[in-house]
Amino acid sequence: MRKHYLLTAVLTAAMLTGCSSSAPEGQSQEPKAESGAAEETVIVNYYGRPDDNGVESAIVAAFEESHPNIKINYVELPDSSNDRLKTINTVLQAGDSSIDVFASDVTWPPIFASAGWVIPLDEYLEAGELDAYLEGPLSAFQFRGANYGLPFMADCGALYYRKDLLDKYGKDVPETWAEIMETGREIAEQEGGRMSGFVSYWMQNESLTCAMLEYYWEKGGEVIDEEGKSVLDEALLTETLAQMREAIESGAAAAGTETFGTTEARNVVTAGNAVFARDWLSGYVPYNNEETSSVAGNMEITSLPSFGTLGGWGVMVSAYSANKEEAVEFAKFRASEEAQMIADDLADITPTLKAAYEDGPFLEKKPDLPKFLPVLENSRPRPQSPFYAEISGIMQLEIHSVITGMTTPEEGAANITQQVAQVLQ
Amino acid sequence: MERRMTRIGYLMLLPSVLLIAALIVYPVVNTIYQSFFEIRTQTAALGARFTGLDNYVKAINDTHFRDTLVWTLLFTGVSVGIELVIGMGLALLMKRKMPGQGLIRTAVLIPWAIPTVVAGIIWTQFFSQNGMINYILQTIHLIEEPLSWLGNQWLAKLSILIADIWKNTPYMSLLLLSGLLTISKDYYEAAQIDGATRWKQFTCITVPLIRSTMSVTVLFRIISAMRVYDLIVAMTGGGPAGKTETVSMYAVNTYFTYGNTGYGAALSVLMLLISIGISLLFVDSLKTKGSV
Amino acid sequence: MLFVVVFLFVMLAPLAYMVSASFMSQADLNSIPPKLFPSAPSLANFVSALTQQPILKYVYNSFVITLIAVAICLTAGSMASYALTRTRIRFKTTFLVFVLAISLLPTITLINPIFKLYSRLGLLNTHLGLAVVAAVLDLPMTIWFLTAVLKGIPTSFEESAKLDGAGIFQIFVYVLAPIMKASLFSISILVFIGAWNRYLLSQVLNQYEARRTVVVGLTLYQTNHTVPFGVVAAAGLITILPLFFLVLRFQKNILGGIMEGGVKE
Repeated sequence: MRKHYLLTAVLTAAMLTGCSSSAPEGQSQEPKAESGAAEETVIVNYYGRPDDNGVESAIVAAFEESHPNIKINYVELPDSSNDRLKTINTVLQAGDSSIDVFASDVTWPPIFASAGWVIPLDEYLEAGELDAYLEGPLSAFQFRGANYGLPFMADCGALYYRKDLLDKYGKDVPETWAEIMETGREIAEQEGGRMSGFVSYWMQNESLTCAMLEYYWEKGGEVIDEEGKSVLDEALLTETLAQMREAIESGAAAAGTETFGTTEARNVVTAGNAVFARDWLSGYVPYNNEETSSVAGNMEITSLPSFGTLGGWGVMVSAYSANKEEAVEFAKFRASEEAQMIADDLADITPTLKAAYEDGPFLEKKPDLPKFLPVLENSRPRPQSPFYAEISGIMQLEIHSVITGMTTPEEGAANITQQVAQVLQ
Repeated sequence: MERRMTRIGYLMLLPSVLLIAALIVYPVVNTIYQSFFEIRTQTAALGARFTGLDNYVKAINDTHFRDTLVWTLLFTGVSVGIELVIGMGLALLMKRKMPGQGLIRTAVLIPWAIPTVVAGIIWTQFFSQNGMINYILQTIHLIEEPLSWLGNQWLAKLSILIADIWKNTPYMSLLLLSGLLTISKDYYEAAQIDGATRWKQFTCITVPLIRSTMSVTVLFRIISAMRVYDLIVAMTGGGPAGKTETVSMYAVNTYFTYGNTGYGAALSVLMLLISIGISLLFVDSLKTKGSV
Repeated sequence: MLFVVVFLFVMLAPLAYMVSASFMSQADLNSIPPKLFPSAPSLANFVSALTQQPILKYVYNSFVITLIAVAICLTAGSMASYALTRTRIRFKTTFLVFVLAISLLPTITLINPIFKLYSRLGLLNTHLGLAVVAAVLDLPMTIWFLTAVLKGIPTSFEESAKLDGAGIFQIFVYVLAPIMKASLFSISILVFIGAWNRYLLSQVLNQYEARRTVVVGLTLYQTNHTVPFGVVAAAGLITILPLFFLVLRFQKNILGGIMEGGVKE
């Protein structure tokens, strides 16, 4: 019987030591960890965007070359904003120093700043340094009078239209949402077939809130005031929701718009089945890609009525970083002209620097860039509240409920107004 | 001798107990603790504020929580029920000796091996307005106009159920098959001599003999079905109008995206209590010894 | 039989579509109405899948992690279930219920504490660290399942082996394991796939490329809101092919001979 004892003991011991003894081993396996490199070398962990065509790697390489004392450990996180948030949130909530600098969605700064997870960059910036950036993208990283980040990739809601079709029917580019739907429906009726007036992605997610805000802003509506309290106008909201529902029910919007994500909506456009589309700037390239789009060259971009929602990405520096100095150094480089040039070169990324739209080198490669400028100048950030994610969650559900015909615009508007006020009280 | 065996018994439990204690007990206690506090990411600097049962009171009055709970339970019941029936059918099929048996056994497992990220994209493509299913149904003239699979709440629920059943039936059939394989052929031979029909053999031999395997399989399938997340996020994002949002999706949103840690913890604890309630129904099945 | 064929077809249709899509160009994938077959099959997606991300490295990581997880789960699980069914320890039901209850908490609530613990122990970005978590999460299921299986096996076999002087280890390996072969195989596959598909924990605990798992890697092909489905399908195929052959290979050995040697009283 002794044997059993021994065996169990050995097995247990093996498993336990297996767990604990691995710790040092694990440490040494960690790529580019503290040890190993020369003493002065500082390692900065950068949690970046997906390595689209090698953009991030190329920028990291360029930085390391000009800063031989700093090594960047680039950690790739998924494109999906929510998936990235889970990782970054976990690390920062733990007060862990493993993130020094990270790519941030434009909606994060208020949350992270009020949580005290990121540092204001003002003391590291020289006077006038911020003037180089476009106002819109920069404003997303400003919260309570301080700058928490630098934008490196601009994006915003835009209106796309079929130039060939508008010409064919002698129509001007519409300037109000009502006109967009009206013109779209008219042309679609005459074209027949699978043609529809308008398409966008209105499935229940973040883009739906943006779509609604763009309608609501046209009517002069506001969401929050200076103090961050709700100033939603229920009557305007009702009108907004009614208009969106009308777009779906009248058939002005492509069938299924309320279920579309980005891919499905873009397929409708590239198949040549939509007159107008509301999409982000990132839609321009796929729409006009000769190989994959049947409307290449005919899909023109312009500003949305009133405002488009501001999107895009920037860099922020963690308050728990052990190497803030170096982290800021990299953050500045990541948003610098040199880095944006690399990005623009390798992938289709819209720059956030004013100079890019006037300057030679950028325009040489992307002659279409000036088209984006008025669109970007016409964009504004989503409500800059630390509770924005929750507000948006409420809105998505209620808007979708109205556009799929489950509740009336009046009920939806009342629910949104009441629940948002509660969150922001 | 007996006492020594008992001591060995405790020792053999030790690895499991230690592993669980090290990794799971603390988080569970921590979550329960957090659920009594108002903790928000946005006010992390101010620290946590004890609020007693406020989070629970809020949850009970939260109509959206109730809606997600009802859908989660409905989803769990229907998907597990159907998976059990189909899984049993497949298990019986895989048990039979036939040409290509190995291939069939492997093929049946495939849906489960396809990563959920990819499966989510495939099913979204199938059910989308201009997707494969509408296209096929229109081509064979079963429908005139495309159906809004993901826009109508009942069709959306159906789509999700189909995708989930497709994905998880392999789990069911594999475990049931392993149960079936421990039954001796002798029983069936004896039954055949007595002239029992196939159905009679199934209900009088197969089912009683694999009952405990079956209950455990169903129990764990229920547990994982109640936590369904990835597939629905990919297909509908909870839409239309939150009608396909499950409790886990709501909890994840609250906890991570909204940064409302305390309330998210309370939702998780409620979920835990409900799961324990359901599990208790299954404890008896382990106690009664199989008739073998 | 017809039913079987139809059913298998439905079961395999998504896979078939995935295979087809992996050979399609983006234009085919974008088309309305959808295309069933690629208009000009090409391997471009496979090339992109292999060059854009080190997918083979991710597959390797996933393999190492899941194999460790399966080993831990089977060892600890077999020991526990043997103790629960073959010895007279107390609190058996309490233990089972406790183990189960504790595993019912949504995974999200585990992430923060485990991250902090691992950060302190230096287990972040290691194969072992992630494997241990994955194993522990599937351990309750393993214990419950093996307990149920062991309960169904009469003790008469072991009695005679015991009389011959065999110890617990020998009894388990030479007497019980052969009878439980199919069950051990099934639970291994279960734990394997469970660990293989664990997404959130893998993303948060193993963030570095050197230790990244394949399910996390698959999400990195997406850029700018759109998923290049052809590339993801190709990458997906690359990841399931080894699994496919593994199962095909082993099911013959393990499930094959069992029919003849079932449990006889």
